[in-house]
Amino acid sequence: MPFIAAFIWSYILWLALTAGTNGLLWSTQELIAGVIFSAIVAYTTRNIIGEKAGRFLNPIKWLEWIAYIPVLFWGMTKANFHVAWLVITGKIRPGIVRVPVELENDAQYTIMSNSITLTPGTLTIDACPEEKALYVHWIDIPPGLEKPESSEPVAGPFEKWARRLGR
Amino acid sequence: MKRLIGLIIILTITLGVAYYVSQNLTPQKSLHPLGKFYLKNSYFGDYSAKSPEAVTSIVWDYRGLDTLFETAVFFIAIIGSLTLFRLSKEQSEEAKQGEPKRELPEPVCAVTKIIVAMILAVSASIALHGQLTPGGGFQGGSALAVAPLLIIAAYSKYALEKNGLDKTRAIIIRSIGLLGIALTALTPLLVKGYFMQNQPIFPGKALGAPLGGSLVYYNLFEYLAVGAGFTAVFLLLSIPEEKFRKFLGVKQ
Repeated sequence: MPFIAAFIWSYILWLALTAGTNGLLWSTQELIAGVIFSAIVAYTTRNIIGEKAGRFLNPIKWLEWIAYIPVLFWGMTKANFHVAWLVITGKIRPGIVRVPVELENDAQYTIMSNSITLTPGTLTIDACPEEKALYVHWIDIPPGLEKPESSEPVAGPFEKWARRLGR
Repeated sequence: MKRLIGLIIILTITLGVAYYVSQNLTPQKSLHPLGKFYLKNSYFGDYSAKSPEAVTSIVWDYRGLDTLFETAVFFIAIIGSLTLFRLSKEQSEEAKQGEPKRELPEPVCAVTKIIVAMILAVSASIALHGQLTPGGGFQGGSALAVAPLLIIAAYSKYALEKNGLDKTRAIIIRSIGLLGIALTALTPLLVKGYFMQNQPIFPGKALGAPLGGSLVYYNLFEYLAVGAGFTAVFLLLSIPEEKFRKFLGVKQ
């Protein structure tokens, strides 16, 4: 299973990199070379990519990922304007907060902390699965939210999505 | 208010300098005769290297000897660092003793898994399309070496060695690459050509895919040699300090 997941992942990349060799599509030689080298890559990385990688081959999951893109971009846009405002006014209240989260596996932690880091103004410093918390640097902590009870004020809807996507 | 004045001054100066520079830049109207020669001959013409990518034709064909010696300099540097770190058999066995463990927070390790497969695919693509698009053996090999480096950073070097990529194997792959380069350079001598000759000895196309004659072989072997050479050095550099102290008998 890890072999197949790594193979498909590297073959998609190969196709993305070699698109346009035959009109807008791929020439036969590129497709064959892609199969050979993706197989080599998948063979060498089968022990690295992990046993559970196969769950990302589920097409329903891909649709969920596509649905997540607008959510993430909307969060990033909002945060961009907020940070631009902070830059102009220069009034910030930075600090590190401990954000309790209800996540189970490493994929969920990865999606959650990367989404937080991608949005300007917040930056995940550490993920501690053993205490079920993320440590986040927040550029402008609203008064009274120094110890947030949930991830909602920091990350908006990201936790819900991370739980669904990383399952 | 103070900030605003500062902002306005910076903007004015930047735009002013940009305007001044853009007024005084004159685009070059004519090409150098040598450049014209390369553009005309790298694919068409009498001196074709059968490669649409002029840079690769120059690097591995027209100025092949130059590149060969550059490569030699690079590999002598790698041999030098391997010599500095030379360990006896027992010592290198001991340097391998250790358990793979996560050294960075969990999200970093999870992303590393995905990125490693991606980097390998991308590096292969860079190296093997060297005769068609910008890129080539050295660039691809450097990209390849990032993959083991990421694994060393995220999971420690023992994870690499547990998966079968230890220093000896890396050096073997590197030697195969170097041998390949040397053999490709020497092959034309067998058919009464000259050293590092490309056309018409090597086939320009295989199954309809343009290979650029010998360029694709040079790129492939350079890719292996550079990637594995870097990996060997990274593996040596990541031996923990305590082990080296022990080998050298240094007291704390």
